[in-house]
Amino acid sequence: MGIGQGMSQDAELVRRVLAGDAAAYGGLVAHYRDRLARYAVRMLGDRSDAEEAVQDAFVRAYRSLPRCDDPQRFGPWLFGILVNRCRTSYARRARRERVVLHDEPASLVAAVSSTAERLEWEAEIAWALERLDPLYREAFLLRHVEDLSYDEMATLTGAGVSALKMRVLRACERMRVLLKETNRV
Amino acid sequence: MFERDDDTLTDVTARAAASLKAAVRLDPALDARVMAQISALPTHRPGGSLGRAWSWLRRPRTFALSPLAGLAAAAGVAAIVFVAARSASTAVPIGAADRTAVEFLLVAPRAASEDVFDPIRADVDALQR
Repeated sequence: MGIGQGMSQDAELVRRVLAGDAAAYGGLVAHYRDRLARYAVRMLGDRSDAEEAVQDAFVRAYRSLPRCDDPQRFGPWLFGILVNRCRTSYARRARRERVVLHDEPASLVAAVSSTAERLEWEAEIAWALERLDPLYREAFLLRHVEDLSYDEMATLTGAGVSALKMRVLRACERMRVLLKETNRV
Repeated sequence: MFERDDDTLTDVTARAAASLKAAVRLDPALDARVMAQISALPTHRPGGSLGRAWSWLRRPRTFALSPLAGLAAAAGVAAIVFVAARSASTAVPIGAADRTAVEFLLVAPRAASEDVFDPIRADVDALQR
């Protein structure tokens, strides 16, 4: 799995943390922060919610570290915690009936470094992603942004491979329609 | 559209996926916040040899087994079950191992006569003297 790069290094850090060296956890946080941030921001569409989810995932992983059966697979295990945390966050947000259309801080950063056309394109993608069913969005991001295999996705999400393939297919179809609505295709 | 079975994207969704792969930077203070929360939690303590053994026992493992080895294993299990079933059918009846020969000695110096019966086998009148 792409998430599991540097597995032996992870295993060593996990062993040190479990031996009482809490500071060693900083190495794991630094290693996985950006990967987790990307998924959480894309999945939740909101930077502050994403930061909260990532922070919470790291803390939960630390608490549950003795239950990480294979320290070499710490990355996928941590990612699984984040996927679940994002689901919870999304469900909670849905109950609040909050609608987030754009990740504004990200757009501002993009505005500085990109052309107006690129900014517009990113906003359209964010708009289309926001309109996907959360399960479809999750499947699309895990498959085509995080580049996970279907077996890896099944391990993370608990869903069957055929169900996941269907979700990815539906997500792509829906994305295609939504992006077409923006007259860019 | 999906181009092959590996569902590689080729159209606008591929462009979208490529854009979504761009790095996202969160607040640089996130690491510090995580570590501050963690430092407030109890430190993990090594569980000693017993804890390590327990962890080793609980760790799932993946075994690679060829179909031939699988058949051999199944045949082995079947053979063990067969032998166990056979030995059970030829086993000594329950209680047989507990039987012990007992000698009864009756002392009756003033008896005028003797008449010994087997109280279990009523068809036998008297035992041999």
